[in-house]
Amino acid sequence: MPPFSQFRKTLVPAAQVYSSSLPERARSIQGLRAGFTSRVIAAFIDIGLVALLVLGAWGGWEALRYILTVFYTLPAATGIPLLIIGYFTMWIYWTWSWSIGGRSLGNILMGLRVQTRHGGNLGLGLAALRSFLSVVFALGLLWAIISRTNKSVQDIVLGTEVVFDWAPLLPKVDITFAMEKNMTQGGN
Amino acid sequence: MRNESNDKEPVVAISIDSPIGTEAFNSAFYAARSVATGALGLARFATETTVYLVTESTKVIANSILDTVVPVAVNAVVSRIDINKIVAQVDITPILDRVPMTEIADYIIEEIDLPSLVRESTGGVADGLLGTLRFQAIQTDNFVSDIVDRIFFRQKMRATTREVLVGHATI
Repeated sequence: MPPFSQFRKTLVPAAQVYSSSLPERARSIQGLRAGFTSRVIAAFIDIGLVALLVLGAWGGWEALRYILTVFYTLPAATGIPLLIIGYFTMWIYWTWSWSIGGRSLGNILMGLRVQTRHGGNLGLGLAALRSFLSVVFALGLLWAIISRTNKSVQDIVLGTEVVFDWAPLLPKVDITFAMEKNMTQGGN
Repeated sequence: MRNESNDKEPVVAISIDSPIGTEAFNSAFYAARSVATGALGLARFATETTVYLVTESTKVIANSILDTVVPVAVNAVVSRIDINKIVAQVDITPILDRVPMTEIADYIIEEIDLPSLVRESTGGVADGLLGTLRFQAIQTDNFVSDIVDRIFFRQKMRATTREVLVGHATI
């Protein structure tokens, strides 16, 4: 245990606390571009989630119809409409989750984050575009196997990347700003 | 050297008329000079030694007197005043302003490894399983990218593979 005086000399407060919030074994991979397997598992988790959602809604709707209608007829072939609804929901879900923090449920579980080349957050537009390309051309992810930089076709087209980020989902609070605000308000 | 055998003019004029010979005069002069230098050196050495001895012994005496007197005096003073009363009057706020609170907090957090305590107490089994799942995926990533890199005869491994291998070596 180093004494406080020694610790103080080498202190980089924010960085230190941030890095120590990660599990020890994840520190060496933090911020590196994720490979194909992690990303495809994350994608399947998302697809499974959306499939559950859509099928659940459809099942609920049919159950309601069965109860309320007098002469219930079995639903006609609904595969194609359900698939279209599923694609649409997938697009909306990925757009929403990538634009508000770069993480869908699959990303959270696999410790991934979608970000721009410079490490920033995807805007709503970029997220919508990436989501659209991912839904329409899912096979583009296969390029991550071959790509030297672990980038899928979508990443190359839009200049985005998927990195490992095991940091817990804590909202970032600007402490300095909060303190200044407190001071100018006379300590209220 | 003799004047008779010397062709050159004499160096010292008085040596011709002097009742004593030049050599004798010179020896006497050098002897006197040596004695004077020695005496001066001795006097200087004696003075310096005396000054040093006096200074040091004064210091020792003074220190021993202070060592004896000061504790007694301080005790006498301290026993007559209430330090707690004095400290109670101190305004602690400016002192606390000088204390690096955040740094101390960071130090304590780092030393007791608070993040890992929080992780262990809140995460539990699910978190460990999640970590294992993630690492298995990463290892599969590396396996796949390693094969692909070999197929394409790539000299340099991909960043992830390299870093994870390094990371595992240290775990």
